[in-house]
Amino acid sequence: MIEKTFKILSKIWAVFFVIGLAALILKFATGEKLAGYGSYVPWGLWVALYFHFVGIAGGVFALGAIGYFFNVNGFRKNFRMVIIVSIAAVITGLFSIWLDLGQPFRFARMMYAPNFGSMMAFNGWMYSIFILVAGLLFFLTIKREKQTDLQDKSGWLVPLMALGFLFSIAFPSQSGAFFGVVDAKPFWSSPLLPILFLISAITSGGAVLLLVYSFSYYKDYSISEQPFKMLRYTIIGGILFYFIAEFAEYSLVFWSPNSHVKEAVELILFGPFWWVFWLVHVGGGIVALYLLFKGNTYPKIGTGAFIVAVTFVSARLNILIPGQAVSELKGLKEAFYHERLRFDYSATLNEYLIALFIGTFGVALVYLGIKFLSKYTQKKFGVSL
Amino acid sequence: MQCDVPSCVSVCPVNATWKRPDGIVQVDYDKCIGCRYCISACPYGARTSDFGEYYTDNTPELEPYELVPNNEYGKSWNREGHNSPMGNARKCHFCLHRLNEGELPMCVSTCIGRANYFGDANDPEALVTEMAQKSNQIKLLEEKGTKPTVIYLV
Repeated sequence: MIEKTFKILSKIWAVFFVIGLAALILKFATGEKLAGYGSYVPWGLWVALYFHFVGIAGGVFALGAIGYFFNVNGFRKNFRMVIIVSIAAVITGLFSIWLDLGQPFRFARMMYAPNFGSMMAFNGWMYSIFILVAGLLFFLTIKREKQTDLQDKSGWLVPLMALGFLFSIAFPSQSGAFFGVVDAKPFWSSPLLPILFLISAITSGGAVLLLVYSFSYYKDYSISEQPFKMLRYTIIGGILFYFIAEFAEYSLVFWSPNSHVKEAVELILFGPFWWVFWLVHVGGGIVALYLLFKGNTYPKIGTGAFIVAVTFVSARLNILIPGQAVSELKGLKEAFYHERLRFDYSATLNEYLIALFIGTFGVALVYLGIKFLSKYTQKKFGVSL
Repeated sequence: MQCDVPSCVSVCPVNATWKRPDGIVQVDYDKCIGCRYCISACPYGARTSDFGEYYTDNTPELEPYELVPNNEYGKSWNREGHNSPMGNARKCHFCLHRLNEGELPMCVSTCIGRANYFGDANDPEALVTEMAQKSNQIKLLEEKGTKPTVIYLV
């Protein structure tokens, strides 16, 4: 059953990859002309995807490290796979934001000439150090026999993993701070934002990990046992917590007579993209909750995890876009007419198709990472991942 | 728009924008990576991104004046091949290239209603200092703490 599903998904992946690649080539040929964002809403779908993927990277690693530290069945043995998925997600996120840059080939300036007073440069360095730490951990955990123990012979495994864990919960939270420091956008100036970003990171990261475990280790572990149990309940708890936090934030706005972010929240709930909140985010969340709670087969649980991994990008979009879509300077909206000077943003077909490519790119990184490294460890140590 | 405490400067991840000693906030097109963080951080919508478009796009051919290099910050910028300032954040710099030649910013020189005044607000004898003290002067979004140095007479 899983093999059949895998084959079907591989075909869908190939179609999405080819279409996405065509859109990507078009983007490089035309610059930013086919993108829907402008100067008033300068960040769009790819930025949301960037935050989604780095969140997944953090969530995957954090859950993997927790599973490792507390010796939850299925984590110590497969920690290398956790690292691969996490690094693949962070690279996919960085690829997504790289595509969004107006001068993408200057991105390295952030590494050699950074302004650490900017949350963006700070984040960029955090990701780099995280990749380095995760890479080192991979080599420390590469020999299977060591993975059943907490510590390795070098004594570096636990300290490095603790450091990696710290980073993995720090950078999704910092994604919230990335927006929170922008005083020009009152909707983003919420102390709840770093917490929302962290929770969605853990939730979507758990969902991706559950998906990978479903495809890779379905023969090794029962669906009702660990590690699936921990991952399922983490995702369920994450969705519920996120909904409660959102309810708290939005209901406060409507109870307050003069809330300065009311316009943004109204846009989320009742604006032209109301369906992103109600159908994709809430609807997807409810369906996923049902499948993860009630599901007793790999396809059901896997579908629930897939829905969370995909639809939680709407949580990012619902923070990113409404925050930009309300002008602080009254009258600015009416002052100019130009396609790039609009406060309403709709992703273009090119953006959607490139988003597909980014998704397929991430999936390919995970698949090839597991495949190649499995072959390598098989050859070198006689064990696969 | 220029601010004494510009919110766009501190967010730039690569130090590509700064406030000059004379108060003008400028962008180094050679350093800017086009992340648009500064655009998000500006409450006035005073920064824009150059998406590589021309006014005469979607016409049979681009007008020649659109293809000449952009002369800004004392340099000639050739836009061909997605070169800067395409992909960069751009903003008003009070026509620094004209100020360096002792000329007024273009908006002041060309305003048919003579509605714009330009000068050194630290000079007590300057006309702008006198105008800035009028009772009908306002500054935009002062509550943001950016201390804008562009003043409107309403």
